[in-house]
Amino acid sequence: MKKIVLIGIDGAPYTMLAELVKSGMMPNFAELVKLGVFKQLSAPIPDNSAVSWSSIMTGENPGLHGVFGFTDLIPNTYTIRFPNFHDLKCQPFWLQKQEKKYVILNMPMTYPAKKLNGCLISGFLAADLNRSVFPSSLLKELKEIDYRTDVDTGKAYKSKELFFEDLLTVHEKRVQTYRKLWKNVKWDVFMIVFTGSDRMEHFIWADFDDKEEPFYSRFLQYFEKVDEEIGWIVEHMNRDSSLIMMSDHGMKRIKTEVHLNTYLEQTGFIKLSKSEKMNYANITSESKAFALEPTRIHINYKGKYPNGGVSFEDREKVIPDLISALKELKLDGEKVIVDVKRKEEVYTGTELETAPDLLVLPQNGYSMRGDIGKERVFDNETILSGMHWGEDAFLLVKGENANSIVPEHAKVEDIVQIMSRLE
Amino acid sequence: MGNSKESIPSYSGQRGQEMKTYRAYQNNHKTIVIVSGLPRSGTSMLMQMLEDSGLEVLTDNYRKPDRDNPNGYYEYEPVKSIKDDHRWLAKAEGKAVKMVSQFLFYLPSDRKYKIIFMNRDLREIIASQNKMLERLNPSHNSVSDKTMMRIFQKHIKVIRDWLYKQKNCDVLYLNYKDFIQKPMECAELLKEFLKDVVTLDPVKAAKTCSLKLYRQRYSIPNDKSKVV
Repeated sequence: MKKIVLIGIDGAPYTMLAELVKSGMMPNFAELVKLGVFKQLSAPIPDNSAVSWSSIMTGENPGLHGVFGFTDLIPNTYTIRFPNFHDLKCQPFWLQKQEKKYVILNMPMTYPAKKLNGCLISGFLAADLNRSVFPSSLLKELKEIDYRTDVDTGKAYKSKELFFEDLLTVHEKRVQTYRKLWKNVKWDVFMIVFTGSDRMEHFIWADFDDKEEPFYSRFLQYFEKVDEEIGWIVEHMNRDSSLIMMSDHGMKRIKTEVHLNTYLEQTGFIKLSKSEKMNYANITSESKAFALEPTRIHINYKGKYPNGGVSFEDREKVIPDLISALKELKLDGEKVIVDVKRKEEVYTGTELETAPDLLVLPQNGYSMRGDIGKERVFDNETILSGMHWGEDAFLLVKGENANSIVPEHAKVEDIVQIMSRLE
Repeated sequence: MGNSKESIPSYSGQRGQEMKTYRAYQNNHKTIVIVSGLPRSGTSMLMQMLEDSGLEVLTDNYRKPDRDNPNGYYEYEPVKSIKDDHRWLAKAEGKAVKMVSQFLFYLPSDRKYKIIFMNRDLREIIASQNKMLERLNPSHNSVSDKTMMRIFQKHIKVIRDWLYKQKNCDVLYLNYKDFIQKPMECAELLKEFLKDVVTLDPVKAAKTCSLKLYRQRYSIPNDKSKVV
């Protein structure tokens, strides 16, 4: 049986990697680009990691796997919850073909860890390491090396330097762990996801974009380290093994954040009650719609939400006006929203009922937010400088007949099928 | 270089006209002078020298002068967006514009460039950078010098190899230390290199070099400068 190796680099844009290849900073990756198929990959909508990795691991669109964001509302409430691995309505690829043995390391949205033929260590948003590991016998060693599933992004708010040191520390532990599993487990499919890339890009994308030192070099240093691991993996792969590399989305520079709920309030689609701490529970029955991060719009249906004010039959009285208002949003004469899609245009499958009613497609540079109670629509005081960009993820496939296997316009959902065709 | 001397293939009809228009565009486009190098390698100083000696510079003064560059940074903000938009290059024709070396890869190939690349001892560059960062952020923990050195060295090698292959680029490599110790010689080299673009006054160029800017100099016995 041919082995397959998958390497994920969370948030790594195709265009950025092409630049790093050109500038000689990732020689191992550059070699793979010459030998394999390297192209842009499209993420689902919305283009956040929870949704995209769910599509990558299941081979399905969100209309089937049922994850539409990092957050969701508990049914019949306005209370935020965090979807996890148990919320996936489709099987990940390692449960689809259980005759093979898998090592899955640091894939987002795999918490809490579930039983599989092989081993799994969850990626973010893993809340508790004790529940992040299968089999649990791996826990002892992970705790001994102080393994962590994620970087402490809070450090970025104190100092970029502190954040970066933490990033490298977490990366080193990840490398230690995957290399050990590589050698000690008899696997058929091995997947490692590097997620520090996304963390770093959110905070220092501007430094990379402007080539501002010293964090431009720090940025390169991280990708140098990822490239070292690419080199190690390729060196230790069997010659006839196949390799698939991917990211779940790209990254672009933030011009400003956009508080959609504030705009909806200004345009009369939301009416909020007042309280000291504002949240979704402040939505009143006069509200027609509200936004959930990052780009989801839900109609405030009666029967679906405690203060639902719109009957399902009246949705076509609300939706066209809502779409029109969203498309009208401008900053300094520039349109902020490229398009607004209905869920039926974007998703297919059994989970349409729980899907957001509308999906906002932002203009480059406008980072959509779902916060409640913000004073201004536009806010560029954020410490973040990078926002997700779904059209610039990357795919690299090295294997027999890769050229004919990889679709012309590849989507993240295609990866499972690419895997099965490489076997 | 020397596109104007290449013979124009004999296409007929509309294609021939398109080719002639393209060649005329290249020939009539004035050369752009690019002052490049790593950050803190002396590019601002070089820009000032060129300006003082007769070459117009393209700058927007977006970044104001400060203690690290008392005479200003001579930057032009649209340079940073060159990979997405290089229409601003039309404004740079016949002038000098500063561009850190990482952006050189994005220069469109349908123009001609004279690139003056400043080399400087990487230890000095890193020290100059650290000094600037300490001033801006006193609690700054410096990035490992070894890491920076390695990344810079890799970059310099790649950019040199790349520049060598670019037919539309003439490149002059100069050493920062020579500017300080032999300013007149460097000024003469600049004058010769840019003679097709502008007539520089080397005396004025040499005067501009200020020994005060050389704060981070290492004393190296027998001048064994490790310039890459």
